[in-house]
Amino acid sequence: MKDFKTYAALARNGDTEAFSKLYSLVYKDMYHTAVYNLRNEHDAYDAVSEAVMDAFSSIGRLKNEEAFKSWIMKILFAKIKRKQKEYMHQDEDIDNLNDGELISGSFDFENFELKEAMNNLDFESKALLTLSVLGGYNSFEIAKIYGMKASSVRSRLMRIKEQLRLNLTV
Amino acid sequence: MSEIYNDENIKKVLEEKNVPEAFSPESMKVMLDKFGYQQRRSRNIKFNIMKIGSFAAALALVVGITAAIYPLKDKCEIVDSGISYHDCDTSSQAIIAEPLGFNNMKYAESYDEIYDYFNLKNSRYYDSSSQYVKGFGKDEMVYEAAEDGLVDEEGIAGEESDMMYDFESAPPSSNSSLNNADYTNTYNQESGVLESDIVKTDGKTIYYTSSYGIKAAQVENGKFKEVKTFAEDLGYINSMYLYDDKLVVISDSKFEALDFYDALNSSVDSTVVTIYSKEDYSMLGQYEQKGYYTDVRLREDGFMYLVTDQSDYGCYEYDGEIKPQDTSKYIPSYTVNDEINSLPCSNILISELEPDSTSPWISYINLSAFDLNSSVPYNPTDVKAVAGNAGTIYCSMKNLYVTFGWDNTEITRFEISEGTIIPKAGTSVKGVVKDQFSMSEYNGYFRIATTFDNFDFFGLTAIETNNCLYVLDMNLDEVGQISNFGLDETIKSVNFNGDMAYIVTFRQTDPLYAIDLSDPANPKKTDELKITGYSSYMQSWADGMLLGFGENGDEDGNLNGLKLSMFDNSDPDNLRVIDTAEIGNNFNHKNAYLYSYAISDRKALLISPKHNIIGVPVNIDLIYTDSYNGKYAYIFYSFENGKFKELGEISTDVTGGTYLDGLHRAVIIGDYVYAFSDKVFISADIKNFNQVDSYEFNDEYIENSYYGIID
Repeated sequence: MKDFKTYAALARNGDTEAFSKLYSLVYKDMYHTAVYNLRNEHDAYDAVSEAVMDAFSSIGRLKNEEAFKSWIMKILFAKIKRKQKEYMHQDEDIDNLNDGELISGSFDFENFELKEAMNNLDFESKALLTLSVLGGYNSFEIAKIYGMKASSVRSRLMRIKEQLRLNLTV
Repeated sequence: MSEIYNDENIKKVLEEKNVPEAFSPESMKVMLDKFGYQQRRSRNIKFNIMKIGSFAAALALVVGITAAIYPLKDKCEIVDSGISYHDCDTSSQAIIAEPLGFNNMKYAESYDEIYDYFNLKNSRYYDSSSQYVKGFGKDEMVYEAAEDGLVDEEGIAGEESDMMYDFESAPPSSNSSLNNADYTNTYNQESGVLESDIVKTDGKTIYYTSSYGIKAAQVENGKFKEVKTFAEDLGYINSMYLYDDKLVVISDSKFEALDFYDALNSSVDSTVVTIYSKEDYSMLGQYEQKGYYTDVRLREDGFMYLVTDQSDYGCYEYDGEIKPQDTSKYIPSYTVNDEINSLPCSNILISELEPDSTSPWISYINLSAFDLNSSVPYNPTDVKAVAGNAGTIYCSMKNLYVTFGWDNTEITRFEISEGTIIPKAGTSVKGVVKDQFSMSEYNGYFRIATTFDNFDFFGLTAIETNNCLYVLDMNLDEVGQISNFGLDETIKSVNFNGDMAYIVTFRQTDPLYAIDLSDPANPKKTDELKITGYSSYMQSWADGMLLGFGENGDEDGNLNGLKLSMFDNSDPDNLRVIDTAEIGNNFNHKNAYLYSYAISDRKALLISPKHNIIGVPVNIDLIYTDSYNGKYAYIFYSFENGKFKELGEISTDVTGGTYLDGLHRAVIIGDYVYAFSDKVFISADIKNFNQVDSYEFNDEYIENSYYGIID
């Protein structure tokens, strides 16, 4: 984006058009992240729109695009965690019923097993996987965004990838 | 098979779906235009906007709504247990705590028990479910313990007995709220239970805030005499009370972020009550309690009750495990004039049941009571914490009801006598409440109206939306209910009036239902009236007359403006519309966007039957144009001879306007009407609405604070 600072300044002054320009930088990642980490599009919409509102009403001075991306992703994950917490209080069985989001799309044989394995990951693994693969963040950045030790992120990611391989070869 | 595993393939899977229109930057802009500015003002309303708001796109994309199948909690007889204020430390001293007899709740016996209840021992694993990670976590724990050698280990023992208020020496309470003075005040849902607001006046001085700092303006015959700003050192101000010679200010704790990463970690996590002297704005004392501000009520005898919600989902926020001795991290605390007190375990309620989750979490409803007549009004007379979440609250003179829920609403009844908070009953009902007006206590019954979704066999897809009005007794056991009104519609507003309930639901048109509750076991629908649009708020205007405010719409359910309605409810069997007024229709412009803060914040309405004046805040934004030209106004109506009549307006033309430019409140004092924004105070003559005086502010710090500008 050419004029990140201008847009950021306008957004800070309550310019929704400018804010939506900033949002356009991240909205695809935000959508895919929310949909994978939550049960359905409805919850994903709640999480993304709440994150957008929070970000809009609290946007401060941001250095650059990257700073904005990690900042809004951090807000999004706060929303996602909140929703996941609600899930935990609900009936466990629902989890399994709802875990069809990723495989409900077009039936793609090639990645079918991968999808299934990805769907079977726990919440935290899903989060770390999205940040790593989709966001392209390194373990230090993930640590800051997700609120976890960098060393833990590294080891968890290793385990997740191991687990995915394991699930696929069984 | 493992060859299909690689980052590229995972990315492909994750990005497979196309982003729906509702998530597009354009759709989000529309949402921000509509709700963005209200966001800071109404954290609690946010959910309602999302769940039952008029944002059609959001509803249209619903693929499958999370099911509502978790079982309603058992209800059983209430065993009244005395409250004891034992200190306790982290070692498990055996304090016999009686079960409360509802929701399996009981007072905690030790901090250790609370630690276990919230699964904090699992905080060291950072994990919720996978089995193998726990084994792995053991190794990691050793590593992290070494790294965290300097972990904060303060554990503050409670010194409750000193802090608790001594009833014996209580001065006689005075009744400050009764006045025959000629000025308007915040409308109270229950008489005798005063509601807080961002504007308060005693008829001489007006106190106003809509974000940071308080502006106090002495007024005389429509003129602003002396204007002062104070309380700049507080965080975002949520609400205020004026009681006798005191101004009670409820704010978020101060926001002090170093950089944007820090902004979320160190964001607001406490609610602060600051009491000022009305005379010289000097601070009398300050109280702080953990949790986001939920709501507050003040009985007219001077006892104030504050509710906050303290939640740390996942506990991943903590950079390290929480040890049993880190009580400051998991035990609710409060601060009186900088002195920190941890809540004794005997004031903390947890469930006797094993939590259904094995992941670490912390979540409390924190409640505190104050006696504003006391010489130390900032000293709490009681503080309680209940494991759970706080959403909408309702308060009668005797009971405080705290509710929470997305699919089902959990209700806890607390008896509030003079400065104490005693949990008495709890239950769960199907559906969600719209706001405080969806609840009412009358003649020993608690009535609550909710909207819920029914799901298909698999619990995946909502097949219908329905509404229910429950009548519960004081044990919160169900006595009667009525359902099946407004099928596939959502409750938009409720007005309880003695034995009658008036309920507005909406999908395409606005049915107003009259429900007779005189036989609590058999609520009966007596009439149903359909008009276009809906009312988001209803308030009794006069005997047999109900005033509604909301959005206007056509037969197909398209919303196209704002509307006032006057209903005749003198005959419950025959509801009728006396008149309606479309608001701001003369501002129509193809790029204009008309909205009102009052849709989500009823306190923004000025409703004074005594003066025969209804004031509605109306904002007009010209969007999708290069420059922003907005207009922020209060438009005033009277209701005469069965007709609404537009009297005039107070307005400000704003270029590049924001939330801070908006007129958020209006009050009447004597023969003058006053309207307020963070930028300007305006007064007008009540007879012709000609402007009399205005006072402009240029407080840069407010804007800086509001937009989170650090340097």
